Amino acid sequence: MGILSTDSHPLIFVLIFGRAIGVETGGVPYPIFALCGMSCWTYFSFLMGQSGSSIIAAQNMIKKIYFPRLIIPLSKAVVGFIDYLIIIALLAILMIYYQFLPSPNIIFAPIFILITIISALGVGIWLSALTVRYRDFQHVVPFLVQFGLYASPVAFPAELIIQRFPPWLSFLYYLNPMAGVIEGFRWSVIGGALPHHYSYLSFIMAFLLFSFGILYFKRMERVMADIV
Amino acid sequence: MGDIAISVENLSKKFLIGKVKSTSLRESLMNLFNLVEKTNQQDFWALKDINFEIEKGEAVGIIGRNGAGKSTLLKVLSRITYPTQGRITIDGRVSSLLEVGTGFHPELTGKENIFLNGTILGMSRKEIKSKYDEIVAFSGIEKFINTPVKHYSSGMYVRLAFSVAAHLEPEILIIDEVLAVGDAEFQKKCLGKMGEVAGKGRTVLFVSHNLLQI
Repeated sequence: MGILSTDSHPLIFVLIFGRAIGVETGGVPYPIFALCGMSCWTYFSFLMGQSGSSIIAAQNMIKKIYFPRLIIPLSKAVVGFIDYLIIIALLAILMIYYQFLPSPNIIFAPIFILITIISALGVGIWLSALTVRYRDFQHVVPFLVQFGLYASPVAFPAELIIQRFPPWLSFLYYLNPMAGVIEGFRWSVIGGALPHHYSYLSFIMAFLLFSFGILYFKRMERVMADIV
Repeated sequence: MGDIAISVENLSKKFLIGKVKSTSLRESLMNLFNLVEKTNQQDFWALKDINFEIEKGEAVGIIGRNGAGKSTLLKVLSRITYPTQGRITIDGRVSSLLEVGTGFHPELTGKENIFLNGTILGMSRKEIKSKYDEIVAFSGIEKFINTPVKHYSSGMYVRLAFSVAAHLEPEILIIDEVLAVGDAEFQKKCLGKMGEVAGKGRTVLFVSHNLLQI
């Protein structure tokens, strides 16, 4: 049900938004194009929204029972993954409907799904630890999610943004881990030109976020029960 | 006898009282630019240089005034908070019951909560299944086992929670004053159970205000 209630809003938004600005997708039906981006983005934003407040929501348990605290954000990742799979199934149905054959690159799709999970978890772990330390961080999260939808190439290809700025600035755009991941996933489904070479920056960012997220979380874990 | 289950050396735990370190990003930023007056923080040692050893198979009761640090000690022992100084050496699996029905979900039935709580406390599904009847019988609330726990009375709540915890098979069982809510008969039953557990070579550590219980 999560799909219908929470995810359909950005889905509808993306469809209308894409039509309005008239995105050039190179012959690919726009719903397929948009859903490729939406599938990764939905998972990412779900984890961002959920894990941020997850530790605070579980504070009763944290204060009374010992267990590895990392389980809390991780459990959100598992819940969100079910939604993720449903959207990917939806994408498959859509492709059958449009009789759109996936590109042979599809064998790389699992890699990009994996990177999506890593970057979503990375951000999720960061946010869950940060909201323990800074309570008001939970009010920042919805804003980040909203902003991220525009900042990531969900409804439009990344080129659309990059070509408006001087080339040396485009690395800034790919500091957003989702930028490279979404482009990569879309490339694996639709094919076409390889994603921008700066995409590697996104992947590196995803791994950095993840590793440093765990380190920060481990540090916070010691005082979590005292300050939550 | 002779084996040490828990050994605590120079254990201290410090808390800050008064206005604790900023808890929001806004305050932290304001601190950065010196926009807030520094309030004086005071240290409070909830535990200071505690030393003791508990042997395996012992049942130990802790008594003390409110705020004496009993619960803090138990929390540190069960690894929920970390000590500021000192070291603890624990030999064996610890299971702690610091509050009644932690991890109980109000919408789930008693039966489902036994499984949920058992898992949280570290039992495997198979283990719970094999002990399920025993747990229900011990709690004495067979009649309500399929009712969501949100409709339970507080006594029923304790009964169920304690029954689950008592049937864990940890080497060390840590119990905070959770028995205060149960009636005399149930308390007696629990104390019997704790004695029995200790008799099997396990260690029981519990906090109470009732000297007679100890």
